[in-house]
Amino acid sequence: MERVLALWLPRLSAEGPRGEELREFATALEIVAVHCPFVEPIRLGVLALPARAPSRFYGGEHAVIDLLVTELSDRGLGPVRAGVAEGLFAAVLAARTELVVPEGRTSDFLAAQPLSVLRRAELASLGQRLGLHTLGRFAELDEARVLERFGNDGVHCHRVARGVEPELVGLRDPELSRRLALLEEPPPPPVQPGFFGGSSLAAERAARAAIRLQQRLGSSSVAVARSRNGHDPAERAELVPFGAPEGPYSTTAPWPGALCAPSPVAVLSRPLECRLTDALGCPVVVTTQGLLSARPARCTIEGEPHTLAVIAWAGPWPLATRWWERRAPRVRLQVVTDEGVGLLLCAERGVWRLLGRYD
Amino acid sequence: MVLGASRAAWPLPPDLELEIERARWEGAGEGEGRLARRLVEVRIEARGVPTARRARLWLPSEQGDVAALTKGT
Repeated sequence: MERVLALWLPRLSAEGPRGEELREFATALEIVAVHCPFVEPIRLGVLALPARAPSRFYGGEHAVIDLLVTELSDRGLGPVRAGVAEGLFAAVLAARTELVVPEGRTSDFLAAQPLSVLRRAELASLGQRLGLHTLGRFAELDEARVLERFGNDGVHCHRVARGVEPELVGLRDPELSRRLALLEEPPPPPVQPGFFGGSSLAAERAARAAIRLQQRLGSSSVAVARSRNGHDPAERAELVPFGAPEGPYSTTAPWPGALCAPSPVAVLSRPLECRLTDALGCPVVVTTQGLLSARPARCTIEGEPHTLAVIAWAGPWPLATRWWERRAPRVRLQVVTDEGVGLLLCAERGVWRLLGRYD
Repeated sequence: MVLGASRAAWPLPPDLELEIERARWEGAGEGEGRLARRLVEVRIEARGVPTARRARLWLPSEQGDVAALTKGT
């Protein structure tokens, strides 16, 4: 039977509330794989590898153990216990007691083990009552008797106890490989914008989750809001794909024509047309001098049934737009209604539009 | 603790209910000035407290934060 080297990392055998053990275990697996590429995860905290090839290469089983234990301990993954025996089951048991079972002596080693190592509660308690305390005593039973009393699984255990079968059913964690594969995360991008300006562990996890989503659904699937410069409030915020590099422009540089703070709470993506009238119901327009033709008294917003009464206003402020855009001159006006709501209006070619609301 | 801003259906009654009863933007006049600060009157109702309390706040204040209304302003 094949000689197997098993490593047991007791600290990583039980999973804590934060799941760090699985991550550390994955690291341990990587470290061992550098020297022994055939290493396999058995269950959380337990690794195993065929001992023959590496012990030839490194000059003996003890040399391999020394190398791996030192490497793992140096990386803070200790304590590490290692053992060698024939077959995976015996090797894992040997690792518990840090034993290198000499070649050909595995059945003796197994014979001395208590029946509970088979991880079969029923078998162990029944064996206890029958006076079968060790694997050796159990192994002495006739296979036909074992089948009669303990069924097929009993026979399997019996074969493991005799050292005929190398591996005990239930020794491996069937979910472990899948869970380790899930851990293999994409490397974080070189520039990692923190969520909510944070650089905490939670922000990092959120960033990783966002990157995974982007890999699955495309880079535009996760967007973050960013402020930038612009004239109108709608221009001053944009959604960019998460992880996009910062723009070359600074948001603190002066921007002629930008509105002063506070900014409107609600910005309309499609500005609504409005009618601004004076007390007599005549439309208020912007004169060529950039002034209002009359004192605004009422404002009607497209799609809204009632007319709002205007009690105060600020502006109009002409907006020096980019001359190369050939856009008509625009003016902006802040209006306060009798309900106390602030509105931001913009006039272009004689038409008033609602840009946003100060709610 | 359950905080509810609206009277929308929620299985638990909120511990604290805050409502803006009145709000008025200040700073604009007849063309001059600009929207600078907003005066709000907040009604606070707490479970187990029989009478609602009211508070007047600048939300936002001219400095961009929240400030309690001080007498004389």
